[in-house]
Amino acid sequence: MIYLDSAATSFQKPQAVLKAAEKALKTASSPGRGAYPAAMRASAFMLEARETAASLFRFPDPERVVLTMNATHALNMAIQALAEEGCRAVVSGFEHNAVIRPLHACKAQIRVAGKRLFDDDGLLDDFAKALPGAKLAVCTHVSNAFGYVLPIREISALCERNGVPLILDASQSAGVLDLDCSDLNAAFVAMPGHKSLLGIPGSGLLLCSAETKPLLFGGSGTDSIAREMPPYLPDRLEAGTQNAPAAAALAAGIRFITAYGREKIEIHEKQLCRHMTELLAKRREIEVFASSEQNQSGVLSFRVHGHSCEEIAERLGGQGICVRSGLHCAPLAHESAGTLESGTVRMSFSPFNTHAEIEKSAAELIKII
Amino acid sequence: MIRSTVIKAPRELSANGCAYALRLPSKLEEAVSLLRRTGLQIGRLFVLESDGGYEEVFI
Repeated sequence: MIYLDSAATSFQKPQAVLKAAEKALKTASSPGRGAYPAAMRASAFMLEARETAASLFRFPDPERVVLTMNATHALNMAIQALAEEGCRAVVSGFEHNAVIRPLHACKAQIRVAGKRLFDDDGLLDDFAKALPGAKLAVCTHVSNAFGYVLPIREISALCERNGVPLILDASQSAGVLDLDCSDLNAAFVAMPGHKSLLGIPGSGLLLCSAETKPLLFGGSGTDSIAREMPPYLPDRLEAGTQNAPAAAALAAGIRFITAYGREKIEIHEKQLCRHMTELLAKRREIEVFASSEQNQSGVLSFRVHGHSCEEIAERLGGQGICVRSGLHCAPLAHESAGTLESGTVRMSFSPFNTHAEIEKSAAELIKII
Repeated sequence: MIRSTVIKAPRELSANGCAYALRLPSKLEEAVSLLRRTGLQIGRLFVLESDGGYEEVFI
């Protein structure tokens, strides 16, 4: 199998991640629910996840690192904390449904800024025009459909200048691109644990610099007599039994990235993407959505004239090559790129993919067409 | 036995995109009857035409 769907979830995991999850399953009970060794071990795994994340992202306070079920859960919490009915929410033209649907549910007025793929200047210009008077801005760091790396530092500066809190969706960048929270003015940063942070499904993070609002209400293991959720983090946003094995796995994934070298991963994935782009671009019937600038990560979309994306993905799947077709839960991104009617085939890379796999996958695709 | 494959539905067959379908090379009516007997709700039915297009059918 050649797995090229890491933007959905990472499939190959470091052994240390699997061992950490297994150890937690065998030795830890429920965190924050007792002071006996198994409960304390569970709490320790949670704390370790917070601390390793705070270190990787240079986030000042580990206790404001909230563990979530996934990035969607994290984004919902962040959006609920800031949006209200009728407010203006500025988003980029490349947001995922995990941003658009919660905003729609809040009945926010969504204003889209920046609809041209890989056009930083146009995007920043649009943001500058859209931000005055906005209640919040939500922006992805990297488009999950096209790998477009948005200029988040500049967007963050624009938001600060206009007094608009920013929610950053780091789903496709956490663990791959540099994300320095000490240098970024974001109210919230949301990310999954199971993509490039190499953790297991059922994990995510919300880095909270602004006031929070609970999305789920329930037991927190603390202040039980109070009818409200605790006013302090992380308990305020962590109702119910927390996923200590996923936290243990996440900490192990982050340690792996730190030891291996985050920058090395970034360089490798970008090189794989460029390699595939070069191979596919040789064929006139393949339309590749690639950037000529340096603002694309290890995610590549294409479509093949005369073939549906679903057919291409199915036939590649038949050869053991795992890709994703369709709209990738990001219809807004496809609307921006002009691919809403057809969708695209998406290949997304990981540190475990090789150039030989790129060559083989491209060769199989060319055989199909 | 009725052979079938789960596939992502062709884009033109789903209004909201990203749907799934069951592809049957043959025995469509028999399969529909079987699925209905189990209580499964069937969305829509299409037949692939010789020109590559799809025609909706009703059984």
